Amino acid sequence: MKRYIILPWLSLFVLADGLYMLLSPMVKNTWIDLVQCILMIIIGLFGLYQGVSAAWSAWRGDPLKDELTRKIRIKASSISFYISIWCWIGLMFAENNHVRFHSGILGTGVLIMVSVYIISSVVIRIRGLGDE
Amino acid sequence: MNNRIRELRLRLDITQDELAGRVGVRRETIVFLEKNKYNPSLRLAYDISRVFDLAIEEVFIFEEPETP
Repeated sequence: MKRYIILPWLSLFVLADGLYMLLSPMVKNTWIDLVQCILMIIIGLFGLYQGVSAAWSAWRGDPLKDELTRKIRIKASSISFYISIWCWIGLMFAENNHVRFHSGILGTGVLIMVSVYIISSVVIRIRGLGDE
Repeated sequence: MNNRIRELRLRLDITQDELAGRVGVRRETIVFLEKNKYNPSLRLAYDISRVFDLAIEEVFIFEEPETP
């Protein structure tokens, strides 16, 4: 299976899971659960957009990756890694103060990492990499 | 760093898509370059200059940073 087909499928699963969690009566309607469901839906939509645009590029014969996309990914990844480490520390502190996360501290940390990745890649695309 | 890509591309009457195809990048990269949002690698700068049949310094204008 081509690589660009995998991403939309995975994103659809994440999106479906997020929607299921949001609509399921099993999920307690605390604000933490709600934020996690919304983040999952946003991540699913972003992944779907990336996957569809990659498939579109492949269909048009454009290169899937070039030096700009590679640089944006590297920068967004490093920013999300750096910020999420601090968020993880914050989560551990919150858990010590009896704040319960629906998907556990690991899942919440991963959600934060992906969310920061999405935000930073959008900001980089808006601001550009001119001063690099 | 500024560049004259848009001006030279219009002079050559080619689209961003065509220029991207000739240098092997995505159209988005050409958009970023024309808006001065991205400084290309030496390889890409060389390839773009070759499309316009000019030297790199004629396409990309380097500005010395102001010293305090």
